[in-house]
Amino acid sequence: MTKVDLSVNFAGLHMKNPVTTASGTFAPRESGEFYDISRLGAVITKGVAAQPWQGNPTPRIAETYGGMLNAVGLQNPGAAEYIKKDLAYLADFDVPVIANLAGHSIDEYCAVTGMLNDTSVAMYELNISCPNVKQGGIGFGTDPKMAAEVTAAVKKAAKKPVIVKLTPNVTDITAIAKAVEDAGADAVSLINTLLGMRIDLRTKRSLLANGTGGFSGPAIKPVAIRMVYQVRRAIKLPILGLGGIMTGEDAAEFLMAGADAIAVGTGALVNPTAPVDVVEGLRAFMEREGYESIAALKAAFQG
Amino acid sequence: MKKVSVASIKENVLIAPDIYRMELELTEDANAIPGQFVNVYLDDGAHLLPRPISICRAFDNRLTLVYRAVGVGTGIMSRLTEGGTIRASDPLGNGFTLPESGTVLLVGGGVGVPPLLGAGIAAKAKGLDVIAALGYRSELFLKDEFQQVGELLIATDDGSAGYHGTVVDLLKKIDIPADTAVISCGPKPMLKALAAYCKEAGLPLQVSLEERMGCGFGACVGCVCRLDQGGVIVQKRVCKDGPVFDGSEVIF
Repeated sequence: MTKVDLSVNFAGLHMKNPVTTASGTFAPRESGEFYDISRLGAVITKGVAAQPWQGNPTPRIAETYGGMLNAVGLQNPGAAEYIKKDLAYLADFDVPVIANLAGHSIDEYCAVTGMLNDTSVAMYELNISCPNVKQGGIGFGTDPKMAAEVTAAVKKAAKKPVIVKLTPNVTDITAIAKAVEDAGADAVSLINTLLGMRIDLRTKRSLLANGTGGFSGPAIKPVAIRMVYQVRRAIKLPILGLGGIMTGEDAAEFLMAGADAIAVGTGALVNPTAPVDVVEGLRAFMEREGYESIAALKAAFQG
Repeated sequence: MKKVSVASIKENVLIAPDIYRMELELTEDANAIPGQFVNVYLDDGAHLLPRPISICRAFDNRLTLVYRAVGVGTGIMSRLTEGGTIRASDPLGNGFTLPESGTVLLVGGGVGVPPLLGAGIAAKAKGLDVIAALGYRSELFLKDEFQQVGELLIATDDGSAGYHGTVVDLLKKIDIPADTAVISCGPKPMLKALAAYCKEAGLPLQVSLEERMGCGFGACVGCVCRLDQGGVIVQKRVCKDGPVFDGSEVIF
């Protein structure tokens, strides 16, 4: 059996394995009731803004074949509360924290960045791709010029590396990836959710109070793999791949497609221990197939 | 650590139109508080989100779920058979708080009735007086079980049994002891009317709420409700901060 080294260096961050949690699907205390958070390569926390956000009305969740729609709308308690509650709690675990940043404007993105600069946060993930907020969010992520603008501004304000999270709801994701690379991003993550909708035939209304929502889960995995593959060929930056990862084999697929680390999102809602199950599943896969390192697994891709 | 485990299905039977009772045998004691729920995972590869099902009663390593087959997921559940297995989480959420003395009034409507049975059994064991006021569309279920824990009052929408009308209208026609704590689960219009009744009568009220959930354990913030806590409006997660809330605070 091959001895496997799962560790990776992701944009300067040492991770004991390439597995993180996708923002919005991980809560430190609640997820930590099901597994030891320290077993993960890093955790990405739920989108946080400078000030508290109320989010959208309910219902916020709908199900669909092999996936789900959500329209939570980035409800969050604001950066001050996040520092006091979540960061303080996570300090007891041996795991780097990546803070997902939300904003309605460039000023708001920079404000939350400034508030977290002198904390234990290891890295930022700039959320310019949430489909569920009216201003900001996806507005920045669908236009290369605006994506570059917000990336440059946050990079200037940030004392830590910045991952920019990309939306799949564009004609050409590589154009956005190139724009944020040129603007100074340290890494990209993809994909955020696909914009979707479902209708309740009994009430004749959308199943979500917000009308539309973000589609996630294993049903979107082929779209995510394809986009990671395309972006890998377009830019040099490290890629955090996500979209429907449920198992270690799913993670291996993303790594072969060009991801340098991965995140488990909806998988953790479907199976609360999915993030650590993916770590162990990836380890077992690599042992079985004879890959000694993540680099070896990535290099094995034949196109 | 909390976990999701495989439970053996000992029984899964129709007890009223669209209402099923599923008896589960767990590998260890259930340790459930009345009012808690379990996430049931369907594992059909298509319907991935857990179904949060209230616990009707728990005893040692046995768990009883009484649910309405209302959609695709509960439809799949209803077709599972004795001898099979199903994955279910440990009990989740906060459950009801029983008073130290006096009377417990259980007010339930439809598929909100089942979790009140566990509360009634626990209240009786604690030496409290129990009154159950239950509202049904038409056909009754769990009637015998509730009769064993205390006085039973019934209301039906069609008048086929008990009082013809809503359960809250039924309450208005009877005398409730002053030291009564009200524990309730049911459709929102019923809970709203009950909250108004309890406010006027000066009775403390606990309500168990329902909302479309994602994860069911507090991570995704999909299932919030709004509370008015002394003029301050706060959002709480039904799955983690509830499902039981102070009925005087809930904004219906």
